[in-house]
Amino acid sequence: MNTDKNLKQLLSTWEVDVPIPRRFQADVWAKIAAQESCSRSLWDRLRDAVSFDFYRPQFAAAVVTLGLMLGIGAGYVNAQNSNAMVGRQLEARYMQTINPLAHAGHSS
Amino acid sequence: MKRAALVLLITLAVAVAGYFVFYEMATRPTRCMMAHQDCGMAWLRNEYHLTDAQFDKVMKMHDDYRPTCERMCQRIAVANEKLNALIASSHTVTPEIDATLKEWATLQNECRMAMLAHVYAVSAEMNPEDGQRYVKMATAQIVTPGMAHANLLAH
Repeated sequence: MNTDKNLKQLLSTWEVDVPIPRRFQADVWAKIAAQESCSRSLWDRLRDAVSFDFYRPQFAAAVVTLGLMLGIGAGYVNAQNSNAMVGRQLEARYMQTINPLAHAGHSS
Repeated sequence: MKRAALVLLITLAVAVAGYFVFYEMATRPTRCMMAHQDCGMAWLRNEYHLTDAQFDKVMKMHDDYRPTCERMCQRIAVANEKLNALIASSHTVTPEIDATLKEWATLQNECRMAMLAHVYAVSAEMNPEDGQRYVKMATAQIVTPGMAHANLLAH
């Protein structure tokens, strides 16, 4: 115990004369970041970023809304095409009822 | 990652539901028309924005025109058969084929005239813009060269 006290006292009197570079701390963190990014693949980094974002309710809500908009958009485009096709069929059916030539063509 | 998968799954479900609900709603009117017994007239009413009064008049015109149309249809069918038989039984253009072809053409013109008169009468009952659009649509099929000829000759 005594030795510990002595050691503490001795350490508290110890002064370091070596000058610390101005951006020492920033450089250390930059080196750590560079080391980490080299060791992890692009996929890992992307996955982490995306997983992190999904924990944010705003991001999750935006993704669901986007999905809904895309679904409705696809439904709209398909409905337009389907309606146009059925419209042409209905037009043809109407014309068949007033066109004796088309009528004869189909009935004979 | 589990949460991301859950959100993506919900997104997919919502997108699919959105697609089907919208598609169902947007195509319902045309599907109803298609299922209608007189779907051609139902289409005419919807496409040319006919009011109840306009539709009643057009429907009456249509019913009045129907016997004329059917009579002409029968005459055309008979003329087709006659012409086909003559063409099949000959290797050259005989005076009889020539005369039958002329009759056939005259009959076709009669049909076109009757149809055109009906189209004009129907268009007169519509709003001016719709009437113009209707005449354009119908006459395109009356005056288009080759209209129904391929069908007629094939039969």
